[in-house]
Amino acid sequence: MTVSPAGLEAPSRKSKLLDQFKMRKGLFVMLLIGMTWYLIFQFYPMVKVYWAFTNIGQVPPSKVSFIGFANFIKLFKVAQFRRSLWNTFYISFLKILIGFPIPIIFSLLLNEMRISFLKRGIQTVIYVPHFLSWVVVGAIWYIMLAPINSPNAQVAALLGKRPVFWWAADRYIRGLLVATDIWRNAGYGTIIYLASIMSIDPTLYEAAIMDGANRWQQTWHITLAGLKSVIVILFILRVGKILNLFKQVFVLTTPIVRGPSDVLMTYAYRTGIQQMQIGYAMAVSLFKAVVGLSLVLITNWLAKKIKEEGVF
Amino acid sequence: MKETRGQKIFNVFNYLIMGLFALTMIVPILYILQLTFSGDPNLDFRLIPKKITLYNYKFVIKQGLLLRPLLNSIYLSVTGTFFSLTLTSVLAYPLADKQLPGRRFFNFLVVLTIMINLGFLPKYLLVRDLRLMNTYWSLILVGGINSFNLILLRNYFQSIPEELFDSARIDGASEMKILISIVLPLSFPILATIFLFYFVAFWNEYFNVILYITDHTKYTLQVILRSMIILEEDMGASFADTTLLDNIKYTTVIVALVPILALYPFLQRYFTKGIMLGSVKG
Repeated sequence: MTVSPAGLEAPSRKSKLLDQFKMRKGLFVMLLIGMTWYLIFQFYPMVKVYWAFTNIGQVPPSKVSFIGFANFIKLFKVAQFRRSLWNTFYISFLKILIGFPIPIIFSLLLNEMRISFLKRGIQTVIYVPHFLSWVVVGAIWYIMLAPINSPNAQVAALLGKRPVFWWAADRYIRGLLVATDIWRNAGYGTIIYLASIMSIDPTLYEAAIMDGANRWQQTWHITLAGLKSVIVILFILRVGKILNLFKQVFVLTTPIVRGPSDVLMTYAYRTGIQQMQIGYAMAVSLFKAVVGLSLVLITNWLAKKIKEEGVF
Repeated sequence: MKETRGQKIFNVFNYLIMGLFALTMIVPILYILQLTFSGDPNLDFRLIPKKITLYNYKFVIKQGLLLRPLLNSIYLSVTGTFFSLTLTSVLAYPLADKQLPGRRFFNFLVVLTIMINLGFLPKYLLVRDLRLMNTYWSLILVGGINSFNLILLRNYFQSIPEELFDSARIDGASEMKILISIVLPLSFPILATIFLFYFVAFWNEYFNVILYITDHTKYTLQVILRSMIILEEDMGASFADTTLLDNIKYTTVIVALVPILALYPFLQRYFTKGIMLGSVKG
């Protein structure tokens, strides 16, 4: 926008706006339709958040009143809430620790492949699972790992052991959540990194070869260096989503393994939808949203520090 | 260029590791696929059934348990996808217009909904208040716009040179007409991407279905599938022979998979372009 003397700007801008409105009515109608959807289905529900400060669901409807932060104070006294908070962070931490580097390594490995039909073939199949729903992923791995009459039982018999009912075992459920997450999403991540590798200037490699760099040095100094900003951004996005851990856990776990797998939002589902303690469950949701937003803002700020530009 | 010994060893390991990884992705799917063509009650691991039979599929069709959920899933996915695609295009167009007053503000609102995630509870209360419980409209409306898809589409629209519609505007074409006859045809690859994203999302929807739908006749395939396999419910169909129920289970997995696999080649073609356009910088 050009800077003009203050006195002249106001009226001309206003009339310009009006002209534009008349000329391009359709544009504003479209904006109105779309933003109405946002208003009703995104912003209006947010208003309901004030219920977190009431005792809705704990008392008869006629006696509902504001109780301040009582729900939030109660949260931290409830062992199940503390457990779900811990589980959320712990499972997310495991997923990042084990799952985050895998696509990076695999994209580098895939990039080293010279036999093109094998490379293309592998590229084609590795992200099939990404488009499957958690229900289908769960169904596949429940069938594979069933305790009797299954490939799982077959392997156990070969090893001379009693088959394990993996999905019903407290000790294994977190590991299974991490493993199925990798199974479903690692291929997709690999493709994203691979696409970024493709956009690295090929003359850099030519120059490096002239300088006598071997393949390992090329990978380290050019490919990985070229991926650095994408890695940082994806890492930040990933950390910002830590608390969103929900649908996978909801679909893949049963009450038998609730102890080690109950996360914040499955806890909110149980208290809010099944027990109808809506005020209390809203407090859980609000807590999750506030901590989640802080994580996003902090990580995004860090990204800006690191690379001068944020993700949003 | 001649390869050194070390490179050769590396290559062998590389193909081995990546090959194994790729096999892990598809072998479980192939295993279940072969189960649906096998009449064998022994479920040991194999990729080709001892004897290929269509009995399971015939049984499932005759028994009819899957028909209703399948039709429900198709109805929801098709209607939802077209609704979402229309609504997303209608909003992406003004948001891409550089002359729109308040454009930055509206775009900020969109990003805000990505950053503030209150989960399912507020939307559940809204659906209840709007009396949309037990209707597919609850799912279609709530899933109306995915902000990531909206941003993808908006970015693509922005990259179309404005001169292309200036002349149409001078000729007095309405904005809707410009969107339909100029912008959308130029945006085919990104529209295809978003179409596929929405379709896959609706087809795979599970949680909102059980949240908003309590009428069992309206359940979709995903709901039936989880009930049968993960929760191990017998779906009211009591079979004396459990292998019959097992047959239905495996067949359901495949039926839920097939549309995704059928779309997969298209997903591949447009998807990498799509994510490259939008994933890194929103």
